[in-house]
Amino acid sequence: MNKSAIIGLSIIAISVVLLLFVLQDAGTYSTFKEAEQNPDEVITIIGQLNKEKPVVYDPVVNTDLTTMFVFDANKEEREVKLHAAKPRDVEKSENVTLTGKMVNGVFHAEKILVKCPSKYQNGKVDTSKMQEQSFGSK
Amino acid sequence: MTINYVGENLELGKWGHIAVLISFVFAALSAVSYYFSVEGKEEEKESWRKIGRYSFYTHAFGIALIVGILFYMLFNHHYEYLYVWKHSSNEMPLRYILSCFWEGQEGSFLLWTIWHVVLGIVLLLTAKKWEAPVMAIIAAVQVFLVSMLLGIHIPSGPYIGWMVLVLGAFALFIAWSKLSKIEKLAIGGALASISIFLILKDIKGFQIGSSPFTQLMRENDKYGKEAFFLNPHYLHVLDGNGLNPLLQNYWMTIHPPMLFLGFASTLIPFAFAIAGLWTKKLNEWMTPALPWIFFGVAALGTGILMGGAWAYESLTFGGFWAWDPVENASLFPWVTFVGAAHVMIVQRKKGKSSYVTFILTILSFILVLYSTYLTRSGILGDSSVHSFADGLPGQLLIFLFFFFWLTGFLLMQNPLLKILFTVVSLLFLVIQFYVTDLKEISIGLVTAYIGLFVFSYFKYFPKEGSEEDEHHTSREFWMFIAAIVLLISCIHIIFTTSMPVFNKVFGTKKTPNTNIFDDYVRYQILFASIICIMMSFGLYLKYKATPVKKLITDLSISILITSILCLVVGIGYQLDFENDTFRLVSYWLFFFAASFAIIANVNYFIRILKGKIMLAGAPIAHLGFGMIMLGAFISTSQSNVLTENVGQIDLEHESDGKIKNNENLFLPINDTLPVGDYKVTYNNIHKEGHNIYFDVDYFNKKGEKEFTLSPFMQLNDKMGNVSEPATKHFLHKDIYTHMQTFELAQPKEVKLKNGDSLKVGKGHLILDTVMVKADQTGMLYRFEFNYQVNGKFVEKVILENEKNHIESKMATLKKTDAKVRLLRIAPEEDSLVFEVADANSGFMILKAIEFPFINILWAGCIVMVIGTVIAIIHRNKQNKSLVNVG
Repeated sequence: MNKSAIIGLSIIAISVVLLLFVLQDAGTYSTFKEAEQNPDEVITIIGQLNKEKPVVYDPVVNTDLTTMFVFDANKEEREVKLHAAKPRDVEKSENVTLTGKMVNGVFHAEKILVKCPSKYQNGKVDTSKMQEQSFGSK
Repeated sequence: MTINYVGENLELGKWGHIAVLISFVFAALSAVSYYFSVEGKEEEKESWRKIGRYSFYTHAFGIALIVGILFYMLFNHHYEYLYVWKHSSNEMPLRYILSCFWEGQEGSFLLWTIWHVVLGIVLLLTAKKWEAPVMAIIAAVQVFLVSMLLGIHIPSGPYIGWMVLVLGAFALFIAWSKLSKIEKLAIGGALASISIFLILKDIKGFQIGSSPFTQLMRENDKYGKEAFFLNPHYLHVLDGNGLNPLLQNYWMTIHPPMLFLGFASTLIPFAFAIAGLWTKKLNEWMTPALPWIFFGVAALGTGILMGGAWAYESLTFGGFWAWDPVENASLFPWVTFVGAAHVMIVQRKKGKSSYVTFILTILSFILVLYSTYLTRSGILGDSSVHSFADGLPGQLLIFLFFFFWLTGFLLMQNPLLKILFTVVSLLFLVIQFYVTDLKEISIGLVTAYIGLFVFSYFKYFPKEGSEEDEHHTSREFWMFIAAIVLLISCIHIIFTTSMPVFNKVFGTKKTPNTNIFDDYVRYQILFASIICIMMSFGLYLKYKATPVKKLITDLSISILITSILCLVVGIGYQLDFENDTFRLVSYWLFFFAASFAIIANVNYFIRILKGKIMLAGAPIAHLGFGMIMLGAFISTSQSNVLTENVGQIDLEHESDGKIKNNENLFLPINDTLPVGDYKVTYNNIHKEGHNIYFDVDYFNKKGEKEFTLSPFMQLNDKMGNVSEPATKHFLHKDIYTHMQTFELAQPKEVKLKNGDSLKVGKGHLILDTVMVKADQTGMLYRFEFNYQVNGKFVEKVILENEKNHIESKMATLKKTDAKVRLLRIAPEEDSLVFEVADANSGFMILKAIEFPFINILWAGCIVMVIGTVIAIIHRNKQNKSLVNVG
């Protein structure tokens, strides 16, 4: 075999091995139930915040604790303790992506990604304010 | 009833649409004319070239017109247009109007086309015999890009039929033309499949592009029906949405243009490579492409790092690089581009091109399209903080796919393979739309692709230029290996970033680990170490072969200095990774490699080149890269969160020690708390414009004030308030300070009974005596409080009222500046309601991080760009002398 064949094939081989590593390292989007069954695994959950219940962040007590309730893909609800300050606009989120572990029925999240509805994509023209202004000016 | 709206300027939009159409049609005409200037009859070529050229000028004029009109609309707040309303507002400062221009999808595509036009015109005037084939490619790319701005809705029904007819006519035209059979077959096949696709897909009709001149009220279903628009004066009261507050930053006015210039510059070498394949000049294309590829490396690199600087200055994750998918997406074309540049230096010297040169050059442009797809299609929504979910994914995919197909089609040097490749591509495209369970099919097709590329190379691609006969001590061999390592490193980043795409294509549900170290650093640190080491000795190698002994003598000083440096640092500094040996070893390896790269290149510049700066493009650029690596390494691996949570609940314990997070400081107003080696206080808030600044004073150990940092909150009621950090820059470190959240001192209502106590300041206020006298004329009372600190009496506070007044006068605590008064009596609860205003009850939650030696990184960026620019100047001179000699 000539040199370029060796190099070519080794690129492909390394790429495949890398891909396998990446896939092996990767977690799966999961549910609270699976997190309960695998208490030692770091698990990523995409869910929705339960907006009926409060998001509690009391920095006087603890600056690194935010408590909230989240529904997972199966609409199961769990308490989530986020080990960080309260993320901005979490109350307005349409989705939250949580990464963490389940401990004693509570999901302890290291990280959160808050997905907010884009401000103008799904929003409406804020007419209330504008009409107020129009009355004011005329 | 028709309403006569006041103040609308609908002419602007009409002209805008016309300008878009002009630029679209003339880009197409230019592409076709240039095509025939290559493929047409010999005597007609010159006329075709002229038509192509003037069409491109007209296209450029169209783009300029679009830009002019859009700016005019933005400057004059023409909110009757959706884009203006979405992205600007009345209060927008002039300097951010530029950012408004490219905040949206339409604007950023426009920015991209502007750079293509600028680079295209430079090329058109300088490319000489390459003009026709290269400009044909560029104009074709412009056709796709401008189509993103068309904003034409194709309804279902007869229109689709017409389009199919037009395609059919075009097919006939192709059939008559003088193309070879195989080309006719391929184009015919493509047209046929587009027609089939249209017929099958037409049920709902579809939208081509999205115009920046869409009207807010009339042409937008979402907002158009608002009752608000019954007001004929709506424009007088309408204000725009404004710019995302995070983008209101000076970096954001220069980062996007620079990045898009970088993206645009990948097109030029790509166009040369395709032109080379097309006109069967497999080697000559590299000479004109080489300066462009270096230009692109510098522009794209600067653009990416400016993005990093923006993230560092105004985002709150604390750092310049977070391996966020959107950041990664801009990185991959750069990595392959750097690889391409290095292979090309060697290949050009030999006068022969290789397969790898083609692959890397072409890949860079394809990856630009891919990363645009990643960031613009919204597919990263669940894994990236900043994905711009906006939707032209279908059109972008077709764009991407077309150029992928074109490339493969030209790279396959055999008719049968060309047909096979086209068939596989069409299958791939079609199943994406019609098949849901893709796993096996997708794996099969991807394998087929790889197989075709590999087979066509071994069987048909000319090998004279390939790397087979290179000696393993030659510079060209190691540059080739470096390019391959870059490619593999890039493949790894692509794999990890593309997880959401894989999920879509293969039907899986994988997610990246979200642990940056495991996902990226673990692998990339090894690739970067290898690259740095190769960069260190690469320049000492000679072309063809190097005497090993001389190499070792030349390098010995650098190796010695680096080893001593590592030893000194190693003894003085302990890296602690809790028994993670892999991490420990790889970090030290990386430290060695990055230092080696710096020292060896400085040494090369001084001793071998004797300081001749015009020859030193390569060592200076390498030095810069080494500095970036070293600066990034030190500042991130040694970054130190200075603030500490001193809250009462130990979370680590609560989660069985599984999750640690202890980085935020509760900082009450007027209190002094330790932060690293400093003490900080926060006692002032001031407002400037839309920003509220929180002044945090840093004191040294002696109690002298060193500096004040003012992280701030940008008030924005439309998009939510945004807080931005402040950073103190020293030569050897940065102190980054971020205000997470805050609460102002506000009077509180409290209910107390006799004997109750209340925490105020550092002590407690105890309700001690309650005396109430009531008669016909009213009620008189007297309350006495004891204020105690640590159980010791400090002062007495007395509250009394006047007749006919329930509320008492305000009484002040002398020691703590707190105020207290009675509000009312709540007999049903048998308690008294007091108002307590403690001026010291406000607080902020602070996070402070120290980044040591981050200036090495920024300095490295500048050095690298300088080196690259020197290389471009040098190459240009060489090219000129080559032309003169040849």
